[in-house]
Amino acid sequence: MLASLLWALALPVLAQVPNYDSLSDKDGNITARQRGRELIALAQKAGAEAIYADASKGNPRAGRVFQALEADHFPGHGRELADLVRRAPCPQGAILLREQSGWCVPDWAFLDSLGKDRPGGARLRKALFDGYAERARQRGLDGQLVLSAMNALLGFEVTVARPPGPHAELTPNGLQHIIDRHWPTSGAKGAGKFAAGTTGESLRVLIDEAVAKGKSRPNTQGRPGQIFEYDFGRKIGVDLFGAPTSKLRVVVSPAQEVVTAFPY
Amino acid sequence: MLTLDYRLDPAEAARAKGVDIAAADATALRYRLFPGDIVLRGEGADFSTRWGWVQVLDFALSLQAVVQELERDGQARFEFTESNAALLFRLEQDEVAISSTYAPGRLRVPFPEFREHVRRFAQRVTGDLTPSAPPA
Repeated sequence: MLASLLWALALPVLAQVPNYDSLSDKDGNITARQRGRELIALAQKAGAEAIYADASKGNPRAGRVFQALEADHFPGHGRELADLVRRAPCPQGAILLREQSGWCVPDWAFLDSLGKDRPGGARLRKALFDGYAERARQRGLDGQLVLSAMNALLGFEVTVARPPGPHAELTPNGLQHIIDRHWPTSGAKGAGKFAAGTTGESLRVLIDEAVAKGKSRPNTQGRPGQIFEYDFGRKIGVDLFGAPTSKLRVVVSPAQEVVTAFPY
Repeated sequence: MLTLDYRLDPAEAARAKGVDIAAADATALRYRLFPGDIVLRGEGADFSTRWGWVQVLDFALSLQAVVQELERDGQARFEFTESNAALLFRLEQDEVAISSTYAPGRLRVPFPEFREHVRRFAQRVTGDLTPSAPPA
């Protein structure tokens, strides 16, 4: 009984020790022969979240491994998966499922052990999504496919009912732009960032409220569209200097689509 | 001596080569394409950015609007697209005083010289980024 308890207590600790040797040499160069889905499975088994944690602490081997996963292997597999997307009938034996839409799309369950709500997992999921979305757009695939992948991979619910009154459409492109520049995990410098824990759904709620209740003005310097600014009276993120802020600026195109939105 | 220049983000520049500029709408041209950094410095201040996302074509077009606003109103404000950082321009006698909300210092440039810098900069940017575009 005591042994079981001690083992249970030790598990989280053991789980935090990444198995670097299964992935890389001592310098952090990826040496695993696996590629694509197999490498992603291996990275999850090796402890991707713990690798990210080590990288954040300055471990150079962890940093190199994580960088290779994030910059190369995950987006690369995302592109491969986007290449597989097609109209039904879906190929036999493939990893694809048929949605109600009639499209054959990836089954994202293979990422289940990569937590959406943990920083390393979120970054790797986003890296895979970026590759997928990039290739999907190059192929001219339906935007709904990208949106549905965004929901599945990043955990964004984007089907919230809107209140009556003025509103702006948050498209996949607009959301991607905001994620790239203003997400808590974004590395973009000199730009406002949303608070940790912001989700696609909560972002949409913020934008809807800012557009409905905020002050509007024409966009500046001949840029198209309108600017909405609103003070929520509570922290929603940080401004370009990293100071907490409660204000949101939303730029809306003449087509009533969100161009960008950021705390300021 | 005023220095007005730009640097494109290399990855974005490579990606932009595959973009059909003629088909891009105004929002894409001013918010999505050609991100990088601008160089704006002179004696007394350096307002160059190091953010990587400043829309270079948008900046060039905006500076032209700034010149027009200065001629009309004597002052103008340039807001960056992705933050509340801004450049502030004020016509003081025959000089333009330039300050910013993100860096210290102040630049003073004779207005005719500033206008000429802006004209050349816009011409260069539009020529570099949109080869088929007529000179600004």
